[in-house]
Amino acid sequence: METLHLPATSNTPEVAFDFAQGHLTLRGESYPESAAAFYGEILAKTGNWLDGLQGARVHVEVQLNYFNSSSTKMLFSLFDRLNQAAEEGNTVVLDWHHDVDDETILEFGLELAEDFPAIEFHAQPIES
Amino acid sequence: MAAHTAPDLFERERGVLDRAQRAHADPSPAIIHLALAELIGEYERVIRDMRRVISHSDRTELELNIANQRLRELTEALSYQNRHDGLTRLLNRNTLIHEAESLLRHLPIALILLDIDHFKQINDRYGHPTGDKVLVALADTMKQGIGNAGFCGRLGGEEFAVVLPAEHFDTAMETAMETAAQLRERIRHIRLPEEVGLRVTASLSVALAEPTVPFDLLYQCVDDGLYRAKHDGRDRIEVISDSLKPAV
Repeated sequence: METLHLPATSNTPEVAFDFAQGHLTLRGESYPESAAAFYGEILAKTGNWLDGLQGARVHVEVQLNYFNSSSTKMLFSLFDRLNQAAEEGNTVVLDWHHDVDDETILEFGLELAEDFPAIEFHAQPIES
Repeated sequence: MAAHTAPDLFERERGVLDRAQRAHADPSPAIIHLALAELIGEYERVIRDMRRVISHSDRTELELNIANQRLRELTEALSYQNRHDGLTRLLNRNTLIHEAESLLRHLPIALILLDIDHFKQINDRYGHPTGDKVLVALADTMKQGIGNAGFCGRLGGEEFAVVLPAEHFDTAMETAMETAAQLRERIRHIRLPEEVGLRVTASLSVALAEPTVPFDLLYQCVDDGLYRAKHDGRDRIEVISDSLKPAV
């Protein structure tokens, strides 16, 4: 379980989780037919990996242009688990990429930073 | 064979609830207390998550509404551009002919063709920007002159058309001739502030067709009349006095 890679589709993001390097990337749009099914495997594998982690640095990069409500719910579970790993002594850095004009995505990132204070949050505006 | 169950978006919450329900039946107060504590924690988490989900959903919905509104505006603008001449904002050739054909299936219509006299000389002498201003001024004059009695369009270049639906056939030709005469007169009074010496005249032709006459036939007839008006000296109206009747 060194990597988890799912190519982007028209309604799911690219998932590039390199567990060996501690580098997790989500990129694209997320409105899968079943967010529970799509994110279920991601959450399970990430959770198992985080269970064995101690004093590690985890770099998370998220660049989502759009995500629906079901995806939002599942993303919260993912960040909840990452926040827990940070509280347990790991360093979790989140680079939250957003279009410079997209206030909706930025707002969501800022809310994440507020709800999961153990995660080191960086907003990363992208010039369109 | 075990029944397949679809993954549940609320699997975690369902698990907490199941444990709480089992604990509820347990005689041990300590077990019940633990389950209640987990339930309260989970409930707070669910409220937090749902608040964020809803606020994000609301913001996204607002964005979508704004994007939809913009799309509607662009669609309307595109539809307008597709139907109108870009310079004069009159109906373009295709739209005018389509509208006229539709009317002529059910109603008599009078068609007036109008061509600016010596327009090439205006362009050559005063320049194309001035020529464009003449076209715009003429279009405005036509719109004002016709009012609600019909519609007009630019067929191309310096050629224009007026379509007058004739509700009263007996007086239709007289009305069309009056409209054409009034237009000719109004055009003679067009003045451009920056070119005070510029005078504009137009040649016109008018004919009336009964319902079901092919529009092409009417157009050809009026176009021939316009040619005669030009040939006979310009700044005049050629009237095709016999209305066009459908072939028996």
